[in-house]
Amino acid sequence: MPSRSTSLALALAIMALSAWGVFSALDWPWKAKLFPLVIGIPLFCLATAEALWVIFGKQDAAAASDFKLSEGLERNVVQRRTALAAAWMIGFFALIVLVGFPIAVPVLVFVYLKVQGKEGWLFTGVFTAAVWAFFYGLFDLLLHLHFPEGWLLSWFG
Amino acid sequence: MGLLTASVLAQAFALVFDPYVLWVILASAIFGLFVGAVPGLTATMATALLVPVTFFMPPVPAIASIVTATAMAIFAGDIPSCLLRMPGTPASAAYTDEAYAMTKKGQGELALGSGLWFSILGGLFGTAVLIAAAPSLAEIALKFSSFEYFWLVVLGLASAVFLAIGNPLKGVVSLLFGLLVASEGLDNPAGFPRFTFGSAELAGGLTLIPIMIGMFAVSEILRSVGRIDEPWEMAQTKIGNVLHGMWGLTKRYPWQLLRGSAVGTAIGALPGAGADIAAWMSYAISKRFSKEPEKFGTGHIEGIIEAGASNNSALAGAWIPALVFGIPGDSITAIVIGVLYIKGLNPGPTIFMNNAPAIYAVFMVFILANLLMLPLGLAAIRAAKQMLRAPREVLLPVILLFCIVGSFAINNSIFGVALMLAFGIVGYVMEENGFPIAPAILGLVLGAMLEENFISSMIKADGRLLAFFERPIAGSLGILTIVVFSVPLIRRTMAVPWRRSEK
Repeated sequence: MPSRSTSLALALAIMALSAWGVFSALDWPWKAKLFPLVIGIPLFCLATAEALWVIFGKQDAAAASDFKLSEGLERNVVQRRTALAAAWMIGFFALIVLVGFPIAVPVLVFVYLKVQGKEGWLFTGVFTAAVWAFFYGLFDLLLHLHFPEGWLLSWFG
Repeated sequence: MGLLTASVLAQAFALVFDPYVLWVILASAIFGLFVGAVPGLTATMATALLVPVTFFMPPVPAIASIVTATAMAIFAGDIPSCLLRMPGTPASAAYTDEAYAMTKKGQGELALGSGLWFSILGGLFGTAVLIAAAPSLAEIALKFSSFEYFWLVVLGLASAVFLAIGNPLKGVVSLLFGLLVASEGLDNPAGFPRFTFGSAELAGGLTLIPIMIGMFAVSEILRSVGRIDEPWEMAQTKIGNVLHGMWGLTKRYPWQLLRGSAVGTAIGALPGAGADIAAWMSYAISKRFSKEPEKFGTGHIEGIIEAGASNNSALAGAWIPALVFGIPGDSITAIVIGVLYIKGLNPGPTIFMNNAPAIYAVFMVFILANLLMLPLGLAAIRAAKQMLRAPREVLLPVILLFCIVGSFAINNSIFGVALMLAFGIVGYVMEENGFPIAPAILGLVLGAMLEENFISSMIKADGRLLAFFERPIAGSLGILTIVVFSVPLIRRTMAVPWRRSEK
């Protein structure tokens, strides 16, 4: 069950997005603005209704999905693990931008297995090598996908 | 249309029975079985993960890999339902308790066997309907103008909202959010840069594939990570000849099989509703019309047969609107439409004239994938215990790697990766707060089509809104759309005083 404050924040964010969309569209030629206005105005109204419902209505028990793997777990445990997973993803993205795919891939797999998975050195090393070989063999050698250099490597050239 | 000739069939046959394509089908089948059997990984995620690999394949093997992997994944979702009381994919959630109860009663083999057997039969039924209906519908669709297409898209979007699980208000907000995001970029009837902030990347419009990988795969990782390090408790059951008794069950429950397959195909063909909703509906119908409704929930096979056939037939059903109109029937075909465009197989009625051999090859792959499910499904059931013991921690970096490479490869740009991560988090936050993401995705996919047909129709009609109802098919579709929008609202309004008086 989501918290009331998160639901309200989301409804307010959608209201802000739609309001910004509508105001931006007002100065455009009619062919360009018609669709964003037709969509943006009802979106703003419905997001407002949703925000009012969150504030004044009963907490909505309806879920967007029929099954949750994390059901039955403590809310803070799920939140902590989800935040950690999101942090790993953002960290991986930052690493790709900084050092490029060929270095970021083995580094992420190795560090993730060692730190998060708490795997042994042998398994971590072998699995990292296997993933890297698969990545390099499939995407570079076989499919010739060109991966850009990371920013750090470009700067220090 | 006159497209199914011996020559077309021969070409399609040659396209499918090429050793490279057969290897792709086999590899995708194994991949799909693994993804489906691991709780937390879905058939949609399997499709999203296959995207980077399909970029580099010719059209037929690219589509064949998705068809095969998803069919296998939907069946394989039944395996952990029986052994762990956890659905491998949401499509098995409807009868997970029933299947697990059967395993606990010592009927695990029967539950697993019927999952496999009736998935195959349901899948073949859906494929037969797809083969029969899609070309005929395409013939009719050739006569459609922008008015009919406009209503068809609106009808599809309406069904997506009202068939989604949860609150319809949130469904509509999700849909409008998707449509607003879809309006970004230069690709609009005026060719005017909208919401681009002067960025060249944004001017090209938001690429759909990274957004879909983010919303379906990344958000799914975030949703399933809560239990990542908890060991799964597996029910102890003997796994021998799981097909024993299947013919007897087919003869005992033929009506359930037919009804499940037909409902599944129909639900699959409705935009926004996929295999999971088909299974829930079929399970409920099965219970409603059963002679032994009291046995449901105690480990009774009837609901598993009907819902198991239904979820696999829904897969093929979803391809009907996707191929004929370019309107996705479910989240899988939403991704498939993106792949079809990349491969030059632009969906729409003309696909049956311009690419007939490739389309019939795809139909053949559907049949082949369902037949291949028998030996490979049996092998997967036998290997299930080992598969479910695989350490889940190692999956996250591998899945993430595929998501990132897939988002990067579409335009060879890091921007795609950022888009994927951003929409992954947006999708997660939306779903956690009760906003279904399927309507948003449908809005994103159909936004351009809706706008183009809306503006063209407005120009043709000189701004006269009544013109949207003047052509017979357009008028009927328009009225149907209004009914689809009104019925839930009327029911809600009627339900309020009823509930009050009940109190």
